[in-house]
Amino acid sequence: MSSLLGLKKDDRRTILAKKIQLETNHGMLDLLFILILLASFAISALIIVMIGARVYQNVTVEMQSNFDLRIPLSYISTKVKQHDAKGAVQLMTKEGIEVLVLTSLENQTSYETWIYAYHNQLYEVMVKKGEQVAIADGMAILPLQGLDLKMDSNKLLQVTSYNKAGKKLDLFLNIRSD
Amino acid sequence: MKNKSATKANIFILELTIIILIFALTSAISISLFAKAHQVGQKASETNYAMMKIQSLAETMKSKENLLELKELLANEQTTLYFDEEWASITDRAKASYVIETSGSSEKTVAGTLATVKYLARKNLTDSTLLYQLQVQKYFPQQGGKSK
Repeated sequence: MSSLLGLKKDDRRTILAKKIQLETNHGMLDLLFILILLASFAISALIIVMIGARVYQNVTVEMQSNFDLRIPLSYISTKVKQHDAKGAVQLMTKEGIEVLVLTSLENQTSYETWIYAYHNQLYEVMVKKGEQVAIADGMAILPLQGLDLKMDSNKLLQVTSYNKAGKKLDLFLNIRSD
Repeated sequence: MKNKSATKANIFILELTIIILIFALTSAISISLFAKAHQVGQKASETNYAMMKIQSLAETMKSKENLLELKELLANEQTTLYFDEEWASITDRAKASYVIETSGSSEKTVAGTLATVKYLARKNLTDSTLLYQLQVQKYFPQQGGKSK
């Protein structure tokens, strides 16, 4: 300030105004820098959250796809192995639907377990042999997009399940007792 | 007074920079964890498919009544089955995303023959990562047994 004392009043005013302008610009730059820093922080946080969400979504979709394909096959596999006796595992068509018929003997009475796909669900019904039951009377067990059943040379049962994504998975089951 | 406010601003920027550095570090860790989660999910799916395919092959092998039907499988040192990325069977080795190697052997006993088949599922021919393996044995009584 003392260096300004030797100058004229107008010059002093001009220099002071310039100094104030410079300080204001510096303050503005600081603020801009902080704002850019905050914006970059927010954008990075958003990107991280989006990546995390995408990964979680992929993992969930993959798990659901595996569940849709594998669980019906595992269920049928367990049921077939449980009922594997001579002539106890058969494929029949009831009301135009391919049905896996598993026969079992309980207290001298023959029972049939029907397993089939109906209305995008895996259905099961247990009836006394010879009794007539409608396909719709069964009990829905699992959601299912499609199920194919084929008996190859009466010894190898081919079960194919489909999921929502159109993927399919085959399982061959050896009917040991036949 | 001016110096005091400048120091305050500098401290604020320093604080902000440290926070961003910590954030960058945690986000790097998070991204690597996300990648690992994706890999684990992928591997679980692959193992599932490999398990089902091998189970089907094993059940098919078990369904053979006659030892002659397994002759080809037991005679070859190793047979490789090729699958595309959707696990559909293909013959083109170059396009294979997954492979199942089968190797068989038979052991003659007094009362018959014990056939052993080993199944190994791998990601592809170059990747040695094992997805699933299963050894299946079937006994064929009175077939090709060794004489006393």
